[in-house]
Amino acid sequence: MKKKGKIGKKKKISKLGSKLKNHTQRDIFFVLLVVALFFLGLNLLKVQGLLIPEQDTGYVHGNVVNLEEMPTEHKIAQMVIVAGLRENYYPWRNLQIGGIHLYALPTNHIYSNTIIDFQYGQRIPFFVTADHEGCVTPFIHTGNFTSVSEIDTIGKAYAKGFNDGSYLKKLGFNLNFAPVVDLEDEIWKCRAFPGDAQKIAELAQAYVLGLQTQGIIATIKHYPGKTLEVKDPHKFIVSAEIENDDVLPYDYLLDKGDVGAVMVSHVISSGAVDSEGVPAVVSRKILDEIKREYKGLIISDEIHMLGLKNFYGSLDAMYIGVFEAGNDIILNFDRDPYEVYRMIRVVAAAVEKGEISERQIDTSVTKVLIAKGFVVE
Amino acid sequence: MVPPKIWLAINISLGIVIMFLVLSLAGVTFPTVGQAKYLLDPDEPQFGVGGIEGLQPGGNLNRFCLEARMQGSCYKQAGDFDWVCGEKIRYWMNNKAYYYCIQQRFW
Repeated sequence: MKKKGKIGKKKKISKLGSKLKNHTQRDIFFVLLVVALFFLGLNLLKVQGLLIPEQDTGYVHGNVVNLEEMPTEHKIAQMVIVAGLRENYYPWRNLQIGGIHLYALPTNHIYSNTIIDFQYGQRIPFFVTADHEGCVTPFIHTGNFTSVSEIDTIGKAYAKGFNDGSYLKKLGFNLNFAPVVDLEDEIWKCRAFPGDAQKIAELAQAYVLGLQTQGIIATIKHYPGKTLEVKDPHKFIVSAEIENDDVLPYDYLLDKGDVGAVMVSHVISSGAVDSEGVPAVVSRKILDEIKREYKGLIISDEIHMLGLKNFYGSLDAMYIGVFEAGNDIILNFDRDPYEVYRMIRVVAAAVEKGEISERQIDTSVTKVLIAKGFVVE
Repeated sequence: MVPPKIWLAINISLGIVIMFLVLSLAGVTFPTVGQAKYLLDPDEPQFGVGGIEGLQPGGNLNRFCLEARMQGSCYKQAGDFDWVCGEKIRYWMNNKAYYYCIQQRFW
């Protein structure tokens, strides 16, 4: 009887123990669940860019920007053009980003609405950019455009520039990453003007004038040439031997000085334009040479194309490299707004440490703000 | 009634999830499914664009990926290429090229 009692007690104790264990485990589960949901929420906020602190734009007085009052982070942000994805509407506006690049959208109405939404109430408006290059255009769903390869007279080139500009202006764009002045487009066969280097230069000049008559800034690309050639797909760092003819259209257009911007590519160039073993876009030598004659905007090609990242090995080094080289505008189409914010802080820290000249940043942001119609004090 | 062992397994799993969430919040990036698929795929990347002179080789894969991304939407399809981006303008690629593209920060 006593034995039975003892066994019964033991059973009861072990049942109670297991019940307690279950209770404890269940309690731990609920605590962990709450913690997991908390961190999940924080991650979601981060992805949406909602953890980025609210930015103050007190340095903008009407159409006057006081550069001394403008924080370094905002100066850097103004030098960046990002992908204008609607999901990043809040962080891009909050960060005072310089511009948004729009991808293909189904209708003109959606283009206009997207642009209005982004620009509404923004104290320094965005550059709104597109790749309206000719045959390959994000507007193929919404309009018919002549291929650049079919443009063979100055008159046609001017008219095309004028029509493209008028179309872009109606939608709310103000900066076009065109015309291509590389001598050949081996991929699409229709983005480069026909003829020899001199003819291409003259046609491009006429296109630029037509486009800019409509208030759309033109961008000649991709300096120093040979970027639309078919390469070995396994080579992620691209190099090219640049001949005098390749660079002739750029020299011609930059010398004339009418074109608002020039885009520099990631190609490692040798020959007529020598980037000395580094991608052209981060070659201080090349950018200084351009700046000597030309006062317009210098725009980097998109920095996440791996040719550039592989060259540096780390994102931070690449971020500092493209700013340090002297580009006025950096294309960074990263989807993650927090990473773009991090880039801005990394570059701002480099400016504080003196790795990047503050004067150079001031010069670039002044160019950007003047191009947007501001007076800079 | 859930046995204690199951509770323990659930709690350990939740703990691991929390650890990943904290690391992700701190900016640590993890290999993605796209990266794994790209590494495991033995094929060569193949890609091309439907230009005015028919299908053309796509040039440099990095630029190709960016341009394909700009077309808005990509979808899987049957045929010589596994994926196509764009409706009127076509960017074609096989799985290897697609998995390379989706690893890019702009994708």
